[in-house]
Amino acid sequence: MARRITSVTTFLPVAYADTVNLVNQNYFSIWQGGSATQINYFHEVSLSGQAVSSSSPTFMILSRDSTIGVTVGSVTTVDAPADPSTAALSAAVLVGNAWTTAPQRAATLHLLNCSLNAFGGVYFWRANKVDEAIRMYGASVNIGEISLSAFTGGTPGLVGGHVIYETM
Amino acid sequence: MIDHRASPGLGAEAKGRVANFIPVGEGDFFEGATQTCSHCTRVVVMEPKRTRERGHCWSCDHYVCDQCAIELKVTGVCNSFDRRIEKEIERSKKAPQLIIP
Repeated sequence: MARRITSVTTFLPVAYADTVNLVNQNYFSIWQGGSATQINYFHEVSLSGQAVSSSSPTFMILSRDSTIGVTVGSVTTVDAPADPSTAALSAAVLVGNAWTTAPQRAATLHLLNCSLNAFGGVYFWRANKVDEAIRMYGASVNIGEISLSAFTGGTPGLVGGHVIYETM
Repeated sequence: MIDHRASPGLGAEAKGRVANFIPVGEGDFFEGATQTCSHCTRVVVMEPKRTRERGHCWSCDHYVCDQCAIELKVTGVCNSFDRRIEKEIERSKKAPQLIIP
């Protein structure tokens, strides 16, 4: 199927503990399955620090969510197909960083620690084959939604990046 | 890959603030192999100096993390994410349908 790229040009992450509401536009994005039986694979995560003046430890976490977002709002994420001839899906993945009901990161289902110092640091992960891709199934709590947000403990700085995923 | 060659980095002092954190200090560059546990789908950075056997599920024929390897050893049951998806699909197919008279 077709791969899509979610990107955010620049944003300032706000650190949140697990199982706390992620406030609109203070996190990279969440991805929620477009239907109850949809399978999605996550292939790549890339984050580049953009802080301009001081050390900014930024503990970004890709995680499943224990509370899912409801109704996408005004987002600052850009979600585009990797291939220009990609046909639109009838039930596309819901992507964005603004939701009427806020999502919450699960405490026990962290998938990838994307920590970096946003003052000049770069983080990159790519699944080396499809077996290694992170899977998301359906659109319900714990398995049907994945978020990329900052964890507590640092002083987050400006970050930009992209995530590549694929609906199967 | 974590590149802190042009950054103050995240040294050992930041360790402990967040779980599964890899310290990459000022001027350092880290590149490591990762594998995704087929049971919990967590991404695990491989420790190149490790000599202990890594977890492997012969049922789904894939790497499993240490936590899932213990569970696999205790229960002997492959609980891979793909298998759980298959079970869920089967369950949804068998779910009672609304009958309209």
